[in-house]
Amino acid sequence: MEIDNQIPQEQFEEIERFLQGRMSAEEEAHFSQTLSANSDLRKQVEEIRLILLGIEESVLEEKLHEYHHHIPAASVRPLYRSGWLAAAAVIGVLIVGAWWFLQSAPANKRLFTEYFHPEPGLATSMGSVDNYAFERAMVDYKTGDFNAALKAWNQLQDGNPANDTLDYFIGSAYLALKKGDSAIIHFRKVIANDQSVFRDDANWYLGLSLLLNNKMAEAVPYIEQSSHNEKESLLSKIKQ
Amino acid sequence: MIDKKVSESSPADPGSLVMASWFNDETTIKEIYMENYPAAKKYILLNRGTQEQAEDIYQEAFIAMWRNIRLNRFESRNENSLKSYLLQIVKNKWIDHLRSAQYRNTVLLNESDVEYNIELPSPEEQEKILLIKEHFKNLGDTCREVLQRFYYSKESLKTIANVFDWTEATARNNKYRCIERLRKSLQQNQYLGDR
Repeated sequence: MEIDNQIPQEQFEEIERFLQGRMSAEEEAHFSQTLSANSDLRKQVEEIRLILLGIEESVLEEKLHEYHHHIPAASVRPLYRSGWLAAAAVIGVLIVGAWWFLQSAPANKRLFTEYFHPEPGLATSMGSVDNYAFERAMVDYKTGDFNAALKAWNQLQDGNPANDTLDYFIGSAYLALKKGDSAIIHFRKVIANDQSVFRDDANWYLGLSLLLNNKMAEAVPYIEQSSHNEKESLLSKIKQ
Repeated sequence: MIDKKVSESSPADPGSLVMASWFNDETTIKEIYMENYPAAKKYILLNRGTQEQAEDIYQEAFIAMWRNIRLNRFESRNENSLKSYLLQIVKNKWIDHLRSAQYRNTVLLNESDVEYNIELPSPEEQEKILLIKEHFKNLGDTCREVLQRFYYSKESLKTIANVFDWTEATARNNKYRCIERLRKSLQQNQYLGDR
């Protein structure tokens, strides 16, 4: 800020009226004219403009932050990209799965059903020849054909045993099929890799996999290590 | 750049965010904010983001859009142009984030044709406004409330006077004093920064 001196109240209020569009046409024309000839005044006007904007932005930020806590959970669940029919089919599978679990109703399965939302998968461009097999399988995954995805990815993994991306999505596909044991193996591999960008999510899903296999005590540290926004809620229910 | 009068620069569509941003009409702002969040979140989650990152990026993008509207950097053609504009800012910010974080094994969506030339604030402007926000937060409860009511909520001096049990003249003087306090605080920061 270049201005060292206090701005007299009357002058401040004039600038404020100008910035807020509260001057009459005549007054504004006169002020604009003065402004074009007076660089100090121009600097003052710009300074006040930014200050008033900054005040408003500061308040707006607080309000926006509050809004996130009012967004209902349903509207932020991820949807598959490939159209509503596929999404409906997957939802159908999940509902049947959920119904089955609710019939048997032990606590670990109820919690799993409540907190498990399938890993949404990666966007695919299908343009790259190198990644074709991987991406083709990703499309299968996203349309709910987890077995087809697994077949392709497991084959890819034979040639790429240390690839964390493959482990993560193979684990995700097994988990979507409720195959806890296999999911656990693959998520553990991801977590063992310090550099993996999937580590955080893998912690969450490993926790859920262990939960599915009724290993609630073992699940807790992994859920705690994740940064999933539902972790506190799940942890409090496990501990009940 | 000289601000235009509200009546000249905002379109006549009463439901639009452009109008709402001039009056900080909270109902409309909130509606538009919540309505457009799912699309932004979906994009970020599909591109290796977490829910928390989606919230942060979306908030930043929304404020950037709000500022561009207020500084007349955005020409609203219709209701949908606003949604596209907002989503494009989200995408730009997320792509920047991904590039800087050096994500591996990430396949990005093909970036759709750039429809808008989004004017970004200069680093200088960004820094100034950040500083203003910081000093505003440290201003003291009364001043913060007076300035928030007048400049954000657009309440009249009469209303504000009633809240604090002041005369209207006192409210007016106090508003001025609070602004000068803020300016002084900023200038002191500047002085320290220059040493």
